[in-house]
Amino acid sequence: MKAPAVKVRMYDVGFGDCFLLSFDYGRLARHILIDCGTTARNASQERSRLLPVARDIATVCGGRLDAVVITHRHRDHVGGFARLKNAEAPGNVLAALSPRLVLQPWTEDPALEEHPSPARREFYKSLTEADRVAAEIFREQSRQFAKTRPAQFASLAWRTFANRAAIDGVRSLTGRHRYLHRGQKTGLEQLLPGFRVLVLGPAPPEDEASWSVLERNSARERWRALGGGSTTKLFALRAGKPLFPTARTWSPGLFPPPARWFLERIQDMREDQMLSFVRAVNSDINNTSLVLAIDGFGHRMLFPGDAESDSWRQMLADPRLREFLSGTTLYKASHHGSGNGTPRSVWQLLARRRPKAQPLVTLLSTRSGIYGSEEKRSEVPRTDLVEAFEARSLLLDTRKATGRAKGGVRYVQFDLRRPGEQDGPDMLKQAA
Amino acid sequence: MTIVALDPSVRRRGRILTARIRIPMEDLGPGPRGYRAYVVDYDSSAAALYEPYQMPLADEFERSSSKDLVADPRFHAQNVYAIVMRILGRFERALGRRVPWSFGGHQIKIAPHAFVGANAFYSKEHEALLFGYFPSRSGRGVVYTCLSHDVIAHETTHALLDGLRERYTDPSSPDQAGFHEGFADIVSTLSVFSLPEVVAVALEARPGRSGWRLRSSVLLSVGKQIGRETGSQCSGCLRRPARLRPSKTILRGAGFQKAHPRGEVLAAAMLDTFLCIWESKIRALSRGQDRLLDRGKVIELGARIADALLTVSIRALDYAPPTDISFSDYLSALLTADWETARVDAEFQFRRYLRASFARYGIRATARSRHSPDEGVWPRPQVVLDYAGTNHDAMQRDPNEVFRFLWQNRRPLGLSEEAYIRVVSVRPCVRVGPDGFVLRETVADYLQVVHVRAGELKRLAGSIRKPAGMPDEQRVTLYGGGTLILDEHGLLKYHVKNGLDEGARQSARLRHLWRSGHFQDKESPQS
Repeated sequence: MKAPAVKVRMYDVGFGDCFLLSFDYGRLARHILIDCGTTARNASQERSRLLPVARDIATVCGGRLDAVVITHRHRDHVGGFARLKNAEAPGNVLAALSPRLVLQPWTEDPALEEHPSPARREFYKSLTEADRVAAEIFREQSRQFAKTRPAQFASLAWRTFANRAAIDGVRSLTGRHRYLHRGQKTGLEQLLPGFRVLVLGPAPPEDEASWSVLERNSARERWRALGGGSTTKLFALRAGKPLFPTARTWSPGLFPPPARWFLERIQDMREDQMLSFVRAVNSDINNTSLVLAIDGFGHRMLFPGDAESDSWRQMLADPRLREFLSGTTLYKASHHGSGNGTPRSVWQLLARRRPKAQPLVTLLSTRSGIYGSEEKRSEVPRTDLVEAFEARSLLLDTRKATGRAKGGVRYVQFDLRRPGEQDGPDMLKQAA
Repeated sequence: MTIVALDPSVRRRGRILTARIRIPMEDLGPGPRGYRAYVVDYDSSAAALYEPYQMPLADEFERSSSKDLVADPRFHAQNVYAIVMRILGRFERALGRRVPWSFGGHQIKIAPHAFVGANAFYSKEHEALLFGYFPSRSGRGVVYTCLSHDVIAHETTHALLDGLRERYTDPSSPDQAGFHEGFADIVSTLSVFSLPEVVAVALEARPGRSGWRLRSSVLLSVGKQIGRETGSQCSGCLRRPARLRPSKTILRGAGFQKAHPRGEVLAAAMLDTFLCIWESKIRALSRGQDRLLDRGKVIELGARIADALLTVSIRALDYAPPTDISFSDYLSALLTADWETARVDAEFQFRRYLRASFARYGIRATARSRHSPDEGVWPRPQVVLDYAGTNHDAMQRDPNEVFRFLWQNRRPLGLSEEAYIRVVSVRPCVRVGPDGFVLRETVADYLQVVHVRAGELKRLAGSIRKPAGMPDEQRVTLYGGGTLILDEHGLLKYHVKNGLDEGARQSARLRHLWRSGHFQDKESPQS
């Protein structure tokens, strides 16, 4: 079988992901969309940024998408699927492309609540509840956070608050919906002849060996630590309502001096605790990312969504997966180039020595200044990671996108070389 | 002073089971605030600071109803203060000296209603014990972790252990990770069972002959009320050490490599010891009688055994290495601690039962030398030491004097000359044995640290093996250390050490840390 021409169009959506993969077999063409979302100040900005992108996707794929892959539920990956009833939204445009197949991680299966497997029901319950509690905590504390931690507030709020419209938008896409875990068939092989598509993550909860490599089941423990009950009950005890209404309390201005040092710190601790909880639940959601490898005709393309350390640790615990990952030819940098998204052990595996004619390609979809700080070495993308990408791979970065399309759309596009093509020392051409 | 004996769910004749305990008499400030602890009743979730409680000399809660005890924040303040001071007092009595907090200050802060949450924890950074509260599952009322005796004792133990053995929170082996939790469970459970009121209720849990079936008593579970309220899978408790079936291979199981479950094994072994001794004494009491025993005697016996075992458990810390502790090390420390104060233990035979119970859980004492005075007890040093120029008086208090002694004897003591060595503490102790005789010792800890690259490991003494897959340029830190026990003359009695040159131990530690991702997540790709 003749190898298809493969193009990958990485849209510059700011801090978010949106990838359109096009496979041209000559007589037929296939188009796969992996995520569509961004980080914005508000829904209006989100729409204005993503609507032209959705329209460009419709143009490139000729009005028909073959498959949509949603790696996980965070808004910067799925926000583009939100629809509006009486106005045009990116989700309306994408829905009209009628994908035949919609792939998500098993954790997004709406039937999980009634699943016969107790492990799955438990996992779903703890993750969903923790996610909802995180959003509620964040909403409750948002005024305080905006005052005391403004730098972290806006971007964390975007990811944390309920994303109902987009999740509903995805659920109502036409086509066959599949909710996948490691090792399962995706159905993409029927659409992409000659390729095999492997699901490398997330691991199912029944896979004890995979989960035992982690230090903790964080979502479950966090949810339990909060009281395990419904958030309604929890927030009946929230700020402004003392536990002991008849007991005398001190006015803030009159706190006794010996206690003041402690009181300021305990308040700080509580805010840090709440923020850590929210960040940790975000991280747990990231670790449910659908990790796909599209393998064939000398290419091995790895799209890990926002998989973080825990997810990678589970994958790397399997020696066969380690071997497989070491043959990656194209790597979509996980989690927008964060340090957690590409741990050192993963990068060492991916960036092993390879022929000059076939360098590793790294795709980086990100924007600086949205998350983290250089001072705390938590900036996203991580500076030294980007340097490593540049030193050991061919780095394609949305921040340097030169591709243009209607509506102010910016993108990076490259064509993967067919085996045997001899069009120059550089394997890849970046479309201007 | 009145305290909650276990937690508000444990009642006797419908009333919360309380106990009256004694704590050192002191002139308390509002809080209460004493010389070692300060209750600051601040609720960060409600942003409310309750007025500090000025505890009167007479206990005003002795006859309070259960409803009043739960509803009155002043009682909560008294409860946490009293239990914290009780545990502190037990530590000081067992160790024969004052016990420092790890943060350098003198008064640990206690916030009985610190935040909304089914959690309680010790924070070194905040110099505090923080207790959460959360809605009851039934929707009626609130569950206060500050009213759970075992939770307060557990968290206080973390704080005290941190003050005594700061390095036990360093990344190390699964045993060290589990030790803090296991030890805290041991102290909380034994201290609760040293209250006759609790033992009495435990005996009532299953009346008649099956009253001896203490293992199944739910009272042997830590965090009972909280576990039930948060819907723990452990059917009503957070951890159930008493129900953990003994198995010699349990510590090799995949489910016991993390801190909490591994700590449960340690606690289970200690509880097994306690129960075996108690059951054996009850059988001895019932011999030659018509099986009706004086209940009061049985209760008093149980409380006494728990109290004595608690003393040994705490005292053992002084005979344990200061770094990389293993459960086997702790067993040798227990046996040595008991040996030093009770050579002939006719009453409870702690050493015999400790060895047997721990063995049931696959834990054998580290000390297996023919020079050990008793099975599993640390041997006396078999090296010739140079005491020339040593000031024996200064050896009881001056870290520089102890370092001088260490350096002068670095070769016979097996210290690595490539490491940074520091004497962490020097503490004189006065311990009293069960026979009333006094034992004077000095306990001095030292730490050794060396920073190397993984590729250099093979040239270090001890043939430390680099974990498979670790690059040569990976930076690693090796720890070693030792506890010196000096007798009343300043002569070395015991040297309990984890050497930098112990290849098997160091290799196992590095392997565990590498596999658990300790190195991989912290380093950037290019470093």
